[in-house]
Amino acid sequence: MTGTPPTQRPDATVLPDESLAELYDDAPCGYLTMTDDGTLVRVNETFLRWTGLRREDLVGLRRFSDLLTVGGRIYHETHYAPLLRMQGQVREVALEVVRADGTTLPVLVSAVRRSGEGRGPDLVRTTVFDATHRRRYEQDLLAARRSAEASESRMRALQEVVERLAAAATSTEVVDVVASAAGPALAARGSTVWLTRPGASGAPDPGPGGPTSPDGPDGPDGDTLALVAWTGVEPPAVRRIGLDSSLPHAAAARDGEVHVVDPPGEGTWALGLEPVTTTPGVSRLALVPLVAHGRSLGVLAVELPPGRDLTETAQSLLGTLGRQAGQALERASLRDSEAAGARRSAFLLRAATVLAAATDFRDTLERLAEVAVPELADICLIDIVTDAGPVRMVGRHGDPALQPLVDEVVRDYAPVLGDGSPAALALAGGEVLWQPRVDVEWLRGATRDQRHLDLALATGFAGFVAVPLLAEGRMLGVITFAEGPERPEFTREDVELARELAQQVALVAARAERFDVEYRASHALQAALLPPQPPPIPGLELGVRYLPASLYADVGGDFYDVLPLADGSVAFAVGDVVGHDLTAAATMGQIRSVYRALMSDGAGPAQVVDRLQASWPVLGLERMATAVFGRLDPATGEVRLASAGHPRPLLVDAAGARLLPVEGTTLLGVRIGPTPEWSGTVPPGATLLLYTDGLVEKRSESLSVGLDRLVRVAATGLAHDPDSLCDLLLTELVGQQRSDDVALLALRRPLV
Amino acid sequence: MSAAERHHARVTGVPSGRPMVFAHGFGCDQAMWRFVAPDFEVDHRVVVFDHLGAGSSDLRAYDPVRHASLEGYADDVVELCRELGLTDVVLVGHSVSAMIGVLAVARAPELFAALVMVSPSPRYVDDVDYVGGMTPADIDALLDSMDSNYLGWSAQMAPVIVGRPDRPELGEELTNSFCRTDPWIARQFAEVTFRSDNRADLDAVRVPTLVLQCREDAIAPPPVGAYVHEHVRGSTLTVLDTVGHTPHLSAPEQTIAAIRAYLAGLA
Repeated sequence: MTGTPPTQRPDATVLPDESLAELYDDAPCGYLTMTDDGTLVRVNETFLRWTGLRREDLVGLRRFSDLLTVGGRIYHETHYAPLLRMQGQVREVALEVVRADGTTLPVLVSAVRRSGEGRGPDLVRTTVFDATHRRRYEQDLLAARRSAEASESRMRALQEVVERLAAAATSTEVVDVVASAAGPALAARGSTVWLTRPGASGAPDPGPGGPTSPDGPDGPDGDTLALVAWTGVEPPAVRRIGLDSSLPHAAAARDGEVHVVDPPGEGTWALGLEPVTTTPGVSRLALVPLVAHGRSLGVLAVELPPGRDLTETAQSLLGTLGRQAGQALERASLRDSEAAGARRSAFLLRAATVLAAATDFRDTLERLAEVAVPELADICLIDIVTDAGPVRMVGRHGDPALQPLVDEVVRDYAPVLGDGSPAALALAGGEVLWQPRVDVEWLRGATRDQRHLDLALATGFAGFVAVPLLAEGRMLGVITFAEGPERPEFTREDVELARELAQQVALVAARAERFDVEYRASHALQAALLPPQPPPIPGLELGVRYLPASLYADVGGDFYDVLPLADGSVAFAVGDVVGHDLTAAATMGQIRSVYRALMSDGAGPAQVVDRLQASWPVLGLERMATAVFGRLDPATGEVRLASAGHPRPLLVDAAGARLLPVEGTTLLGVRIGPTPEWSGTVPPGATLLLYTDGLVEKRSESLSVGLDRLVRVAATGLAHDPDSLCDLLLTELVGQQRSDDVALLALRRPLV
Repeated sequence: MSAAERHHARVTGVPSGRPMVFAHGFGCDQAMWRFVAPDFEVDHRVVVFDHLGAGSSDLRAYDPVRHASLEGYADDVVELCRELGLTDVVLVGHSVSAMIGVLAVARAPELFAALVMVSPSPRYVDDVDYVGGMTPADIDALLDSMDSNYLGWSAQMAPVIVGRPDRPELGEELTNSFCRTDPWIARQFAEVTFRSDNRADLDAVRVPTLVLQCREDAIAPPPVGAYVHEHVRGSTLTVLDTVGHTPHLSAPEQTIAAIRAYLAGLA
């Protein structure tokens, strides 16, 4: 398609006449002329039509500024007129003219000064354009710009918060940032921060069921919101809100949306809310869920001053803040739990080290308390169950100044089965009891009298975890960890840690207890097996010693035996059964019975060894042993000796001390074979010494070194009677520290 | 950054001459003095500057707290004079800067030799037994107008090159290039200016003072000038035969003559 160009220019001569007056008066703009001081001297019709003003009221009488609104007049004096003076003209300045009817007309004004050049006064020519539409546009523009500025300032505030959140390393720091975030951004009076806690975090009232057990997915009490920080407001009296509560805090946490609630009295929430807000006359409360991955980790409650509205933008800003804070919280809590995990591992490792180094059971418990306080708790109480009921073994407080009070509790208020103490409750229930906070009323029920209650309050018994010590299904005792009011409440992680610690202790306790039982049994057996003192043998002086290794009091597998025979000779033996326990003692008993029976029947030492080796499987003996058996005629000094893997006997006589060449077979219980028998004479005044390896063996050196030392020391004891020879050897060779049992048997033929 | 840089201060004239510091009023900047200040360069050391928020001042230095009262502006003036090492200063203040001058002189009397108040008003709003020329409603209307007439007040119009054969030095300047102010700061300044009441401070002025009053002035009408003259001890009142609030623009020759006559009388 092609357009048709105009074929003819318009003919000016046929256009209607336009007089200058018409051009002036009917111009599409207002047109004003004024003198230098602003007095109007000419006004066109357009301006009069727009404003409803009359020419006769204006010309020569009014100044331009008189036609403006008050604000416009001041603007005229302070901006417009100076500009006009300085520049000689102004362009498109926005002003408002007051119409005759009092309404205003937005206008854009341009003006230019014309010099009178000596022929008349200076004049100012002014055009006035109707700017109604432009003003509307400007106002839209202004509104947009203001809203942009407002949201920019909010974005800046948010950006700052986000940066601070990013810099926060721990949950605590994140919470601090969140608590202070809303203040500047929304002119909030203050805010509180609540974090979601998994259930069983304990209602203050334990009720008839007592404190809660942490077992179960959410615990019996359900999830809660716990107050963790506040700023600008006093802390609310109620610091825990059930997640199923009808309070808006809980509602926000449940649905993940920002909730804004109206002033008290206007909504149904007022009754329930008052305990958790503290500012009198609080007008608006915004509840901002702290959300990460669709999960509410907590709620920020912002208290806004009365009359402060929350725009949609501000609400969406709060939502963003909540999401940012939620993510930061999640990140920080991951980091926290990593750090806590590392701390927990370090703690348990330290505990294990301490437990391993303990010298006995009570020491174990003492050291455990030392590790637990104050790292895990402020107070640690350990009770052990005995036949007579629980015995309070340990009570420790992290503050040395309060230790005497805990000592008093240990002394006077040990738990009694059936009382209301955490220890007794845990013993009765057989389960971990966890109560993050207890109040005075609860403590009153848990204590026995006023003094007990006073002690509990004075030591700061504000919350506790009581963990039973269970081993092999048996209840050995209970550990109670308590914390002061200043310490953060015990968390699920703390409870887990307490449980693991208790497990370690229970193992130690169980071992010790089993040991205790065995010790008593083997002690009784040994008491029967080891003659307290050999019977007096005519023509022989005897010395015997039995020293258990220090760690295992009185228990051991070493033995000695002296048996007078019917033919006037003496049978004797020194042996060493592997192990130090009941089995070792039983084995020793059997060896002794068999050897005594065989010797009584007239068997020689080698025969005893061979018969023992042969019958070992039949006897059902579980442990191997070494032994030296002998038969001595006190009258002649004739002696026969046979060894099963045992250190060689020693003879001390006038020539000195020497090991006798009693070549033994291997250990009893290892192999069957003919055993050589050594025979010789013990001269009058000489001493035959049988011993176990505990006398000569040291871990740091070879056996031959120990034997050389024995020979050297024994050589100095020629003049000693058997008893003092034993003392000499023990003093010189063994000392205070024994790692093994020692049995000694010394037989001396007196000089005639 | 020095005070001189913050305030875009320009120092001209005779270095050994008596210093004259010209402080502009609300709504404009140091350019206001362009028809008056140069006349004094022949025998004075002339300093012009912009208040923070106006002209080429450093907007970042504006402090909403410090500048929430005229005292903050007075501190600025004192700081500037001290930094430039000025003493024996003739301080010429227009409109609100006349009151800023009153406060500056009270703060550092050792710096100032004389005060020239151009179109001053110690209080713009009428009060019992006092005529300021405006009602509280007028001030509200002014501030509303500043809020709604955002583009107008910021004076940021479409730039148009203008030619001025008679004033070639303006040839390259843009339309409305003078008196640019940061709109937000201008709004704050308006509030501080038009809600201020410095009547009580007039009594403390202890330097020779000249009050210049226009014959007609919608912002500071003649009774206000008379009030200032009455309450500043030993002051001289000169009424200029011009209309408006800015005699240094509408009647620069009269303004110069009045100031020169007064300063001559002091010497």
